Amino acid sequence: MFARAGEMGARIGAHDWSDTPLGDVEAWPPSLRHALSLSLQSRDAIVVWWGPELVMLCNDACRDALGGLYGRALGCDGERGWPEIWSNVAPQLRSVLAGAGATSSDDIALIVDRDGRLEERYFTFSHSPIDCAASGSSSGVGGVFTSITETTHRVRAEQPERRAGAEPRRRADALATRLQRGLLPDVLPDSDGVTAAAAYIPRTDEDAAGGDWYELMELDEGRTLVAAVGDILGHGVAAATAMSELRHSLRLLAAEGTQPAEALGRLNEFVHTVGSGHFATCWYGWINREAMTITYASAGHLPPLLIGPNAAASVIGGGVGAPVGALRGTIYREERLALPPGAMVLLYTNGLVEHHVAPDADPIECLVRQAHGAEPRRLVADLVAQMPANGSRRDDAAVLALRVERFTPHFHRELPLLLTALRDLRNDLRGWLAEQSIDPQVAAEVVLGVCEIVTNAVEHAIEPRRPSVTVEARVRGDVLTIEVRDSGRWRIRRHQPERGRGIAIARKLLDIDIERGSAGTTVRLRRVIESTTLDAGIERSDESGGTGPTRLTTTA
Amino acid sequence: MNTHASFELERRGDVAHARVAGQVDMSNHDELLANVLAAGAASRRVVLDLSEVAYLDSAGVRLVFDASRELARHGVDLALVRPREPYVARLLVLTAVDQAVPTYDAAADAIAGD
Repeated sequence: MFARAGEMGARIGAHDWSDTPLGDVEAWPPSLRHALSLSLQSRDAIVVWWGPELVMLCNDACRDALGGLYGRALGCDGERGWPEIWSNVAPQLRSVLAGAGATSSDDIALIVDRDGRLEERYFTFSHSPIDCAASGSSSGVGGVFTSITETTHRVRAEQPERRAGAEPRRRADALATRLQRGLLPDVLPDSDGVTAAAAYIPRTDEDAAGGDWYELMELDEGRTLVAAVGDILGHGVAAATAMSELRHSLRLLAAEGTQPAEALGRLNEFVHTVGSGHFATCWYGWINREAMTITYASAGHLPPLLIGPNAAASVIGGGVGAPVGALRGTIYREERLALPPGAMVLLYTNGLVEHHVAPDADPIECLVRQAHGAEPRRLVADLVAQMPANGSRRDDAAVLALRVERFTPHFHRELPLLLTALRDLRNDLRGWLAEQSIDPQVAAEVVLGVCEIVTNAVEHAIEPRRPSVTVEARVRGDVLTIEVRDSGRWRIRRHQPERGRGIAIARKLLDIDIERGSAGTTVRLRRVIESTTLDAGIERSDESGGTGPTRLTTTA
Repeated sequence: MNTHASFELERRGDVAHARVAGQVDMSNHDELLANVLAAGAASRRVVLDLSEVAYLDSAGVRLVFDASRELARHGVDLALVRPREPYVARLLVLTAVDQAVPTYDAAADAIAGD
């Protein structure tokens, strides 16, 4: 529908809206479609906000004007999608929605990426109502059409007169707070069996950022969760940028598979080598969701809490070394703890506990009492609500709560290394794919691709340690992933070139990644299963095996 | 024939009509190939009828190419009848089998030849 309306038009068309407040694109009211179509073809930066949730839709021009916003603003509600300006624009948006007519939010400061440099720029947001009788709202207004104009030149021209003694300092602090909020992950991994919630609370609403941070990421398709929390000594821009540097270094190390103790050691050496002078505490853990263990090390950070499913609580203690940046050559020790399925892990910084206790109470005991039987989102919301009011906080704070269940692939079969086992696999996989409401054509292609891989494993696995091959499949969002594992290595015989045909066929249908490790061969297959069918036509096979997956779709 | 495919042979003059039904994969490739080649003995032409095949992967593609090559060495032609199941039929198109071996929609046409 928005196919000719730029990159964002294509993304809007391809997005699955069925689970959002907007519902299926086909059912969008004409006034929304019309406003969107206008905005997508405009050269001005325009955001369309729709419904009581103020779901955001922006156009391509927003990418050039606003940078980072662009990627986030597809179908997110405004509060989550654009938190850095939300408090400044929400009142005006709500008033337009309530029927008070057009208005504007003037000279809103935003940190934008201009040619790789973060800069503070000013924008005026001009809000107009989009009438929609079908919206069901009493005002008859369905959404807001906001055109965004940069006003940096005018604001800067006026600034010398406005600026008084404390102003530059205040503005730098505000910049640091926004930097910090922008640099923390605003979307936590969302997978089956993991519930997570996190918050960062600055020392004051407007002023200094501290260096508190948290991190949560998934590895191995959700089999591993990496969680960290840290506190960097200092305040302001320097602390916020140091936080970002350490956090991203840790992410990189995690993605490379570096375990907690070694990662902290390398972080410490890095800080000493570059002489940045950072001094930071950090707790860093890997949660293995198959074995249900947590492996962790701490650089002088407060111990997280483990609250069992039956509400028994303990601290995740031990494994503590010197803070990062304190002692060159520190060797961190790792500890490992069994994690009962359904247990909650609570990571926090001292800013959280010091505000939650009476002077002579044990801060950790108080936190345990509070966390008793609570859900992560509720707990984090309560803890944030209990923080002292703006102006009376002594420190910033970060908190991350997660409840973790054992990793379960949605489809799991272990087959003997026998070709005759293929038929049962096909039947079972077909049945499972049908349960997931996957299009029969896609299902047929997936079954074919998987059977080609399993046939290879059965025929070519040499020196297998176990006489079996494992097939696991799961659907997350609109992506189907399947993993085929055996415990041997593959040998493709050179004098039988036709043997490679099976893999070539599978490659035409699915994204395939083959990993040959010492423990065996793992093949990961991936297929986007969106409901819209692309008419890719028929691609002939060729000797090179072609590029990328192709559907077996035909219009003949 | 193993549990998940069947093979039936009917001779019409010097044409052998070989009907395969069920699922063709690596587990029955060798046995099916042996049957097709046996059907080729004392025939001018073999019609490999795949219309009732419900599943076929690269093993089936190999079956066709192997049979075509071996029969040709003995001067025997091979023709195919296209699977009725569209996903199976498409694999033969994707792998260009239908370009390498004459492929028909109806068995009668395949038996009659050009």
